[in-house]
This record gives sequence, structure tokens and C-alpha cells, in this order.
Amino acid sequence: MEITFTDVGPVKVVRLDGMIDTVTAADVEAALTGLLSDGVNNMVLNFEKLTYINSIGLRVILVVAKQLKRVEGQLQICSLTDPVQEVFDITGFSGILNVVETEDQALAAF
Amino acid sequence: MRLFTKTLILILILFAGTGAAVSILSARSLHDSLSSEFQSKGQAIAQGIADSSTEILLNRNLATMQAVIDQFTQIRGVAYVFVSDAEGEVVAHTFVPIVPAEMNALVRPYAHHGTMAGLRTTRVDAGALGSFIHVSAPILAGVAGNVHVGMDLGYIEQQIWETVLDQQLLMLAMFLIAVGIAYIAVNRIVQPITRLAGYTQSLSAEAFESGLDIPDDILSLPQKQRGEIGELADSFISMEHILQQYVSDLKDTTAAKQRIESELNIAHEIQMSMIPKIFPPFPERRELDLHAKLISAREVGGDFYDFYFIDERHLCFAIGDVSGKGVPASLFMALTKTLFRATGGPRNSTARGILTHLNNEISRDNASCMFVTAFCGVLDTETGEIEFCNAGHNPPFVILRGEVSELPGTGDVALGVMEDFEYRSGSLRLAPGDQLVLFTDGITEAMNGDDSFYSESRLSALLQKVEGESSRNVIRHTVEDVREFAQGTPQSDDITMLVLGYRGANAESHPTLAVELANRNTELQRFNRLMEDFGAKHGIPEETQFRIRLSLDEILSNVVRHGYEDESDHVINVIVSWDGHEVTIEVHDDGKPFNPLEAPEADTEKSLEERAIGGLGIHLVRTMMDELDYRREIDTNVLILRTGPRDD
Repeated sequence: MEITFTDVGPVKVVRLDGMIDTVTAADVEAALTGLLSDGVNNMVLNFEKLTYINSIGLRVILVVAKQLKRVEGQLQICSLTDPVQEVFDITGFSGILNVVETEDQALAAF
Repeated sequence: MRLFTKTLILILILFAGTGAAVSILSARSLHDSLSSEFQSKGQAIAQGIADSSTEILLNRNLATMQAVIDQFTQIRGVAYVFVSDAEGEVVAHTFVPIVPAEMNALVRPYAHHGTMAGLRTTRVDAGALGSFIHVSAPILAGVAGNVHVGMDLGYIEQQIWETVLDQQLLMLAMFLIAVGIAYIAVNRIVQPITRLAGYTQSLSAEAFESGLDIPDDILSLPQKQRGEIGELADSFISMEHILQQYVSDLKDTTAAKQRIESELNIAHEIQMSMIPKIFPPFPERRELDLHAKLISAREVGGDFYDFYFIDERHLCFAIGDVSGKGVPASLFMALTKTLFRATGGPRNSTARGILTHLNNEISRDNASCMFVTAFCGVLDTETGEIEFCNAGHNPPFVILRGEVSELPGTGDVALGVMEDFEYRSGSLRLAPGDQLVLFTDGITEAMNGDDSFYSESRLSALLQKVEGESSRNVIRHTVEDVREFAQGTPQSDDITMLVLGYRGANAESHPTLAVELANRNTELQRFNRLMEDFGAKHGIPEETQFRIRLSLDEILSNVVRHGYEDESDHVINVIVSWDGHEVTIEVHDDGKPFNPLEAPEADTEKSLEERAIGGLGIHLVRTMMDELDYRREIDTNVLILRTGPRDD
């Protein structure tokens, strides 16, 4: 699991490469909530190289989305792989989160 | 005491009206009578003085004159008396100290006109002095003067006022007495009613569960208060008795109904537990592909299926349909099913022998005249040969070398109809890949909205279409097709199906991956690597592997997180097998009993704010897998997951 951060203007782009499973979900949660406590409230999650996510990973994403909503920030998720897209569809996450196809589209939303 | 207030107002109006009317009437009549009395009195006095004072006046004996008139002032109502002479000069009077000017004015007219004949009566309003009836009587026809007598009208008024006042006081006294009486009377009426009303209110809060608790004051009312109040109290008491009886009856009925319902549910559970439901039933017997399903139309039904090995080599299987529905049918089904198990054995190992024996057992003492149609077969697992017997059941379909055909019946009568009936045998041979399809008329006679049947021909056509599929898939497609055909028309009969596929005596066992995992999250990554190798080796599609990996991730992390209350190590067994069409995964864990099939459905329609964190794992598994089965084996949870490649 590799997590990299890039600043694009006022937006923090987070690339999550690998798999978010029961073990790695804790790392992802620590990294993302760390950003939130640093005052980041505009975030793009790039899932281009994310091949796997389970319900615990979804929980982390949901926590981040809810906290950003509370501080009137914004979360955009882009470039979902097919398996992750399927999980998002089954759980209804595609409907409640901002999911777009490319990182450019995600950045254009801010 | 709203009733008393009303009574009070009524009495008040009554008395006020009466009092006013009486006072006005009596004042008027008193005024009239007193006026005329005063008038005649005044006239009599004036005439009397005039008659008797001629001498005195002619002699100008004024002192005597004064003495005479003075004594008249003692008479009630006489205000004044005075005497004037012929010249109109007042010669004697009773005024103190002098004759008022108003009175002189009354005398003057007589002076100028000289003589007067008879009495004159006038009413005089003398301002501050008051009002009077003024009577003048001439003395010697006015030659000697006039006598004037004034009767006091103020006295009359005073009399009237006094009378009216007396009357009013009397009325007031009567009013107070009437109010007192009314208060007591109203109280006597209202108090029991108030008590009854309070009692009724307390009744409405009562559940009528315990014994009757009617207060003594209510109970004694019918004796104490005869008449309407007593009758009312009587009705109340009997009403409560009836209500309590009613409530207790209702509770009994409801309890009975609930008991029957829960007993029916239990009956359904018992019945379902009587038929084998875990598939594959004999995982070690690779030569068999056996699957069956029973969908009850009501809580309990009359269909059954069963199978068991008579010996190492011979599998006995049967399907049956008891005449009728509901509880009687289910009881008969239980009987038949139990006897079926007890009948077959090494000494009675043919379908014909089993059904003959079963028929005799059922026919004996069959007071209810129920019967069972049944198909029974015995498969030789080494040769694929089936010896069968059909007791009035729907002829099964057989799929031989990919061709669907109906298996001709043996023309025998249903079980329970005729004792000592000689059943006949039929035989059939399955080659590897062939299937025998048993079903009940719940399938072929399933109805749609147009009252037409699903029919044998539609079933035959469907079986031809799904030829080559596993037994489990044949049943799944059939049930789906029946559902589609029925278009929501309620299922009227049990739907039961048993499909027996033969793979041949030398059928290879399916590739299997058996892994022992410790109860740690990191173990999952180890399993994933093994699964990846297994999938790659046997050509399991990537997307299927993904769904398996995700489902096991959810299941196992759930077991690790919630399954164990102690801190010690546990072993979770995972067995994955792949038959070329389908992956079957068994998960055995010795954690707390947990049936994921009973977990509440996650609501994936909720918005971000409403979404609860968590609860999605089971939903993912349900969606990712085609089928889930769960059973608790002593201290172990056994979860079976199945899925095959998906097109999308």
C-alpha cells in the first residue's frame, strides 16, 4: 500500500496505490485523518492504482467524506478501477460520493 | 356541581320574576285601595268638621275651633286640617308654625267665589311639603267658611314601600330555603353520578386483567339509590363484568391463535429440518451431482424428498406429494418420510420393495384415507443403473446424452390407497453426464394470472435449454422460470424438485484448496496469495477471484473481530473447490454462533449524512456471491458460499 500526496493549488491530491483491506485500512485512515487535522478540506482521492477495497476501507472513505462535509470542504474521488467501481456500485457509494473519471475532472470541481 | 349551578340560576330567575310581579301587582292594588280609603276618610273628616263647627265658627270661637281640628291630626293619614272663613282667611290650622304659602293659594279661590256647594276633592303637589289629597268642605254652604283636610299621599307611598319590602324579605327567605332544598336534592342525584363517572374513568385505564375491583360505594349504589341512578349503577356493574369476560375471552383467543401460529412455524421448521438441505450432501462422492429444493406454499406442506445410502454402493432417493395441504398433509408427510427412512436397508434394497412395504405401513389403519404419490429409485453408483418404482407420481424427466425425455410410469397406484398392492419395477441406466429430474405437480401445475398451467411441455423445453448445467443450476433455472411464468400469482402448492446427476464411477474429484488460518487479520493476505495461485492454475476468471477474495475478506475479518471472546488462538478452516462451473467455499470457525443470512439488509439508498458507518460487509458478500448457506454444527459455524463466473 503506497500513499502519496500532491498539492495542486488549494487541493490535496492523494494517490492510493495497492489494496485497501483489513490490514492496510488502518494506514489509510491514519494518513487521511492526519490530513484532515492539518486543516486540509479540499481533497481528491485518486484510485487509479487501487485494485481492491473492502468494507473496512469503505468505512474509512465514509468517515473522511463526512468530516469534510462537516467543515464544508469537498471530497472528489477519481479513476476507479473496475473491481473498486463494482464495490462502489453495490454499496451505493457511487451515489453518495463525488465519483468522476479523471483527476482533471476532479480538480475542475473545486 | 354544574347541575347545581344550573338549578340555582333557574331558581333565581323564577324567584326574581315572581317577586317583581307580586310586588308590582300588590303595590298597585295597595295604592288604589289606600288612595280611595284616604279620600273617603278625608271627605268624612272634612264633612264632619264642617257640620259640627257651624256654631263655633259663627260665634267666632276660634280657640274651640282649633281644639276641634287638632284632635283630627291624630287620625292616620291626616296631614293637616285648616278652616278658612267666608273671606278666605285661615282662622284655625294645624300647621306649625304658620300656614305655608302654597296652602293660602288653595284657599283663595273659595274666597272670591263666595259660596260653594258640596265637597271638592283635588290632588295637591305642594313641592317640599309633599303630595296630598286635599278635601274642602263648605260650612253652611260656604257662608261661614270652609274646612280643608289634607290626606298625606306620602304616607300611602310609605305604606306601599313597607309592604313591598316585607314581601321581598319573605321572598328572599323562601328563595334561600328553596336553594337549600335544591342543593340537597341535586347533591343526592349528582353525587352517585359523579362517583360513577370517576369510576368509569378509572375503568378506561384498567386492562381488565386481574379480578374485578369494583369499589363498595359503587356496589351498594343499586340498593341505596332506587330509580334511574340505581339502574345506571347496576348497568355499570354488569357492564364491567361483561367487559372483563370479553377481554379474558379475547386474550384466550389471541393467545390460542398466537400459539397455533407459532406452533405452525415450529412445525414448518421441524418439517424443513426433516429433509436434507445441505448440498452437496455427499461431497466425497464425486460420482454424484445431487441437488434438491422444496418451497412450501403455506407454513407447512405435504411435499418431501429424501435420499440416503443403503450401503456403500447404492443410493436410495425419493420424492413424494401427500394429497391435500396444510397441517394434515404435513403430518402425513412426516409419517411417510419417517417410514421411508426406516423401510430401506440392506435387507430391503429395491425401490419396489421399499414402496411395497411403505404402502402396507401407510394403508394399514389409514383412517383419514390420505394417500401419497411417490417416486422412489435406487442408484447403483458403480454402474449408473437405476431401479425405480413410481407410485402414482408425475413421471420424471431424464436427460440422457443431452436429450430430454419423460420416464414412462410403472402404472402403479399411489401409496395408501390399497393394501398389499403389488408394485412393479422399472429400470434405467445413467451414463456419466446424464441427469434424472424428479418434481412434484407444484411445478407443472403452477398457475399464472390467466389460470393456465406451467405444464410438462414447458418444463421439458426448459430442461432441454439448460442441458449440461449442474443439478443445482437446473433447479435454480426451473424455479426462476416458474416464478417468471406465475407473474406474481401466489404459489398454491408446494414446489419440490430433485435432480440427480451421474458423473460416472471414476469421476475425478474437483480441484480443492484447503487452508487453515489463524484468527489474525494478516492471515488473510496469506490466503489471498494461495487463492491467487489456485485461481491461476485452474483458470478461474479474475473477476470471480476478486469477488471471492472480497467476500472472504469480509467474512474472515468479521470472524476475527466479533467471533471470539477470549484472547487465545483459533483455527479457521477454509475449503475452496472448483468444478469448472462454480466455486464452492466452506468456512468453518469455532467462534460465536453467527448466521450472516439473518443479518439485517444494509440500506444502500441512504444519503451520506444518514449512512451509518459499517454494516456493509455482509451486504457486499450477499451481492458478490450467488448463494449462501449457513448451519451451526455443535460448536462450529459452517458457512458455504457459492459463485460462478459472471458475464458482466
